[in-house]
Amino acid sequence: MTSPSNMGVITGASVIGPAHIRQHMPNQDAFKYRNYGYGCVMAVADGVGSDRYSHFGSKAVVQAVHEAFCAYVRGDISRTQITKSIYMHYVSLLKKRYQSAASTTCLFAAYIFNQGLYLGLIGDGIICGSINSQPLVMQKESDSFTNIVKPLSPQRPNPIWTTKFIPEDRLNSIRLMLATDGVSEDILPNKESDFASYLIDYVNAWRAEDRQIKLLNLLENWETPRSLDDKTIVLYQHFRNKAEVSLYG
Amino acid sequence: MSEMKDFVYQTARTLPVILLLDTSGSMFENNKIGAMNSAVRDMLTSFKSYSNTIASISTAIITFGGSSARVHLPMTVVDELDLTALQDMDAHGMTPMGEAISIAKTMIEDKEQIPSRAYRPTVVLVSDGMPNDCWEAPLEEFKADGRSAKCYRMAMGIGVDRGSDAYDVLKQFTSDEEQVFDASDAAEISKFFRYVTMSTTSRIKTANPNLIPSMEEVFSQPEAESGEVDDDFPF
Repeated sequence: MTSPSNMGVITGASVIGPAHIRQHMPNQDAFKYRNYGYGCVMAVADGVGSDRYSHFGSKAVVQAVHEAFCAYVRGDISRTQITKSIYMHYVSLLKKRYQSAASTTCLFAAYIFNQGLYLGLIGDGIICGSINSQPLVMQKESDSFTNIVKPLSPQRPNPIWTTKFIPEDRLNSIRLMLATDGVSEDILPNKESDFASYLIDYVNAWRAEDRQIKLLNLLENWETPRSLDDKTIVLYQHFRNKAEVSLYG
Repeated sequence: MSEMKDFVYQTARTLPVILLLDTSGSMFENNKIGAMNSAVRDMLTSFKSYSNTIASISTAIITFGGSSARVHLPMTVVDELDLTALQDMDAHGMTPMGEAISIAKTMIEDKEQIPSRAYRPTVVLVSDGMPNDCWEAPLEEFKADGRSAKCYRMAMGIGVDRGSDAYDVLKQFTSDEEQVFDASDAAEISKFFRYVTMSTTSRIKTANPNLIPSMEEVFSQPEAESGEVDDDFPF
């Protein structure tokens, strides 16, 4: 059986993009992660650049993810209603005057003890890493150009999510990165899972209290030149076998 | 030992600009071809100065004249473009616009030339007359299908009367049918390419380069000198 003591490092960080600084705009990304008694929930979001209140939208949706999973664990909703609940909470968290211009993308991962791993995304960004040492990549289809997405919006009441559920009995190890497109668009093709692994190993090398600042430094000194967008990353790992935890720190 | 540069691009995202330029025989009259050559060089010079400081622009030029359309300049990041080696365009022959649109479509659908991480391309059509090849089907496919359908399209008619069949072709090409630019002389050809320049450079300075500014918004901005960047902007 899994338990909180098998959970590995979780950390997350976000930096505002130079283009937003220049235009006196806020960071339109948001993230929230938290360990609960029932598991762990993480969410990352990127407000649509052209929407005036999208920074409120991204904050609302990451909060909505947590509220939806808490409602699911309480038994208030079924598994199939999770994404619908996220949408409803997102809309209800937004003041009416912001709803016309608060579109956002959203990525989430939730590990629920004795159930499994829930993954979901709408819009761009990426969920990648490995499950049982097998590569995992979830992102939008690359048949378009960057920043052209169908995000979450109060004006679109039936959003189409991409979701994945992996039951507990098929999970031995989880190493994940959730990232907005300010990160994902700069990752080399077919290097996504390796990059997640590299980052997780990188932050694992530091003391727990230093990991977030180290991740922040990495985002602030991003390798891709003239990368204008906000950048947000959340990292997660979990092992069923305690021995594996010690291998990774 | 791995480093971050092993996993992320070491080059900036690009904003592609594709020019479809009429080099038919009629462009020789009143030295329209000369004005267009000059305006295109000025635009590329401006792109080069901005690219070094803010973001990366890539450009391709497809000409249609003679008996066929051809790639005059393949998709090139302007940082790497040697303007002294770029040949001027000559005017002669027919107006195979449909073939040029097909070549542009192939270029845009090719992810080696324009990767998915690129911003929404701008495609600019310049012509002084009616095409005389099969243009309807290539244009319909360009607008309706694939990645080309997501491009922003602009058009300029040189000496083309409003309401004429040639003007109607340009209207069908543009993303906004009201935005066919009319040019009757060299000064207006130059003004149009200044608009393309300013529209492109204003996009790469914003938080969302896929937003297309209107002509009014572009010409209401003070025109910066080449390479001018705010002192406090870190790039």
